[in-house]
Amino acid sequence: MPERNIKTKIGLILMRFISKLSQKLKLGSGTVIGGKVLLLLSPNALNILTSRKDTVLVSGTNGKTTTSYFIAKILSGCGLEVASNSEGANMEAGLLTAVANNPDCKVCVFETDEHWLPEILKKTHPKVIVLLNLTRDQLDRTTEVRTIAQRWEKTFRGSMDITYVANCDDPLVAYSILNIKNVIWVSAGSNWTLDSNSCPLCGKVLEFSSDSNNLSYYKCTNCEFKKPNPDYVITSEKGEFTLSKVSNNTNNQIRYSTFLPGQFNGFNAGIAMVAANQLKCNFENSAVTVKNVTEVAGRYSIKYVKPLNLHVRLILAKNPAGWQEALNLIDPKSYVVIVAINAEIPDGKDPSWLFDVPFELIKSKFVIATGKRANDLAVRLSYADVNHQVIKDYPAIFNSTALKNIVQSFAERKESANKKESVESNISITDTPVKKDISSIDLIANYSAFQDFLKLEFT
Amino acid sequence: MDSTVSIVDVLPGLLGTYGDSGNALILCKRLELCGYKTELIKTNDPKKLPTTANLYVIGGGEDSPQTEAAEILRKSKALNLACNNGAVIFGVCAGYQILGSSFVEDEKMESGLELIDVYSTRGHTRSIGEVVVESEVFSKNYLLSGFENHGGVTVLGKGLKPLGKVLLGVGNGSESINLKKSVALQESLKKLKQVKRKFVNQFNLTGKFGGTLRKTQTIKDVVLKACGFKNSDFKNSDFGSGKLIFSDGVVAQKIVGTYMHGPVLARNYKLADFLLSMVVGCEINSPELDKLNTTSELLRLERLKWFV
Repeated sequence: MPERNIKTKIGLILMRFISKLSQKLKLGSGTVIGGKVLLLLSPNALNILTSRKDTVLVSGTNGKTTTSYFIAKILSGCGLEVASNSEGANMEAGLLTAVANNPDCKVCVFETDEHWLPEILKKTHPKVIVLLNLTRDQLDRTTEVRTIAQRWEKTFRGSMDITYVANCDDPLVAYSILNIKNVIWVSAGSNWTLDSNSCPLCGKVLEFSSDSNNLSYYKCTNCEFKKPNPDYVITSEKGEFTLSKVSNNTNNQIRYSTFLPGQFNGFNAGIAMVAANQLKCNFENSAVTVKNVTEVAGRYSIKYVKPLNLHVRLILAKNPAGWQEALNLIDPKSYVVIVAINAEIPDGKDPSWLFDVPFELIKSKFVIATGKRANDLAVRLSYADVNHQVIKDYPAIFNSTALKNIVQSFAERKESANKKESVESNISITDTPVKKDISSIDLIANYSAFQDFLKLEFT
Repeated sequence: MDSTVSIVDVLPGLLGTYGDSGNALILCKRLELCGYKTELIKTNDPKKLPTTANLYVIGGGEDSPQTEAAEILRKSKALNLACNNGAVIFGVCAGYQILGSSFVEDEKMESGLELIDVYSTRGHTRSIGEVVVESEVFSKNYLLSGFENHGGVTVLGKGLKPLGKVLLGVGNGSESINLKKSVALQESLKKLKQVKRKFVNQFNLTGKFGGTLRKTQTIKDVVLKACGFKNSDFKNSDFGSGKLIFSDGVVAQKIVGTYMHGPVLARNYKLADFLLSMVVGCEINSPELDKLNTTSELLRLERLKWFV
């Protein structure tokens, strides 16, 4: 077992100093720079610092941050000392800082960038790996998604002593652990099949259907590749979720819910509960913990814009699969939606994917298009028949006459409608936009735009 | 012609990785605004691929789905039949390669549909970035803007015309450089990229770029001038065989191919109308399109701004 050597110790001290300095100078959170310094001094630092800990790695295209946050919360709730990169710095330096800041922890929960997973696996000898999904993401700067699945498969083949908790509804995930015995399959849903229309194994057409229990099913039209049988199934009904163990004993299920919106977040919570169970946390306690989670790293946080008496909920969506989920989250009562698109390096420089996002879903809304690539968005919205206005500069949105006018006209229409309603109370006005709300709006942003809004002072 | 114009989004499940399905949507919408009845057929089922539709749109895809799609289309012959029936076909990236005689996947040569006399091989590096194309199809001031992301080099048969000349980016790769000398080409590309980076940096510093592009200028001239180099600072061999002029895509009767994503028709509505005019046999024009065109032009000009 590697011992902590002197370089690692010096590195740790230096790292803390630099992280603090970076925070003081307001350069950033200091998570990445500190870890980088430590790595420079002691390239094996991650290996050394995690050597006596139970490590859980969480990877996939979407849901990493949320799922690892759930797992860390559940484990802390079980009385374990947990180190976690909860701010979303998910490459080596970020992981290192997390554990270095909490060197006495018993458990490490790391969300891990899907490209970095093979390397991080070697350096952290994890006990559990959670695999969520693989879909298209930042195609210009990263590899095509199938290549990642192949890389995963190659790495996992040589790592048999790990327990894998994996979403069997995602064909690329299922493919990546095809040759592993120690897998707990969770049927956690996948609404995005555009990246897996051809079999990951033989390249022929993959056929999607439903099985007898109305769960999604897929199989190859040519070879033996098919959806693995789930060990756990998550189902949802009206915001309530049920996690059932697949066995003859039908009582083996637990109901849970979470304050985080959207079906996918409930599914993430369920997978987290199964993963935490591998570290001996029971499902009843887990259910209590996930229920009380309201926001994760600023996601779903609500900002208040005082002059307009406006509540703005921040939603992050990074790729077409994430956008599809995010658009479904939009409050049906709200009329205005702010959509922010950048194409910086972490977002991918090519926003062609905007045409893979079903913006037609929000035809009934008024969209304020913002971000550096607002014009790309505007073209997409135009072809989707969505009413919109481009306001590139973020703070200008909340000072804009456009938004003020909408707020004003809504207030007036609501008033007049109220008067009318009191006279002719039997007339239904449910279909008019008057019933829609303007006091709270949703803001959906891709990665770097979301970070901008987190930093923005809403006044 | 039937009164309804049918547009087919060909196998979007296999060839739809880069938002290229947007092209089919755009073509459909524009026709509708001009008062045409349209039918958009989006199918992954080879049996449901029509042979008598008016316009076929094929997008980009990853390697193994591309090979699978090519096999499906070779077997079904739907596109070959449609071509004989006079359909307009628009291929992007992998979809463009498939229309030719062959392409390369995983170091194996795969057969294409042989609808156009082009073949594709693999370049040494992936070409990723903004593309600017000057096309003879349009007036000189209308430059096409797109985003390329591919590892292919496409060689056009004798007499075939490319969609246009690449002013920024790689496109088809090179038509003047022998593929056997591809190593030399890659070297020159690397050099070009370094120079281009300086060019872009300089643009960012000064905020403007003196002079507009002339047709007789090569990328080399433009880049050198922008970076403050003299022509004699570089050997001709630095740029492959002297003049480094890449082309992008192909226009062969009713078949148009390109490496540009974006989706390319979202950024360049005139290219969409060029395709549609071949379908309906007359100019595409309607005041109903004005608003869309303005929005689209804002995007195209914004993308070109940092180039010219």
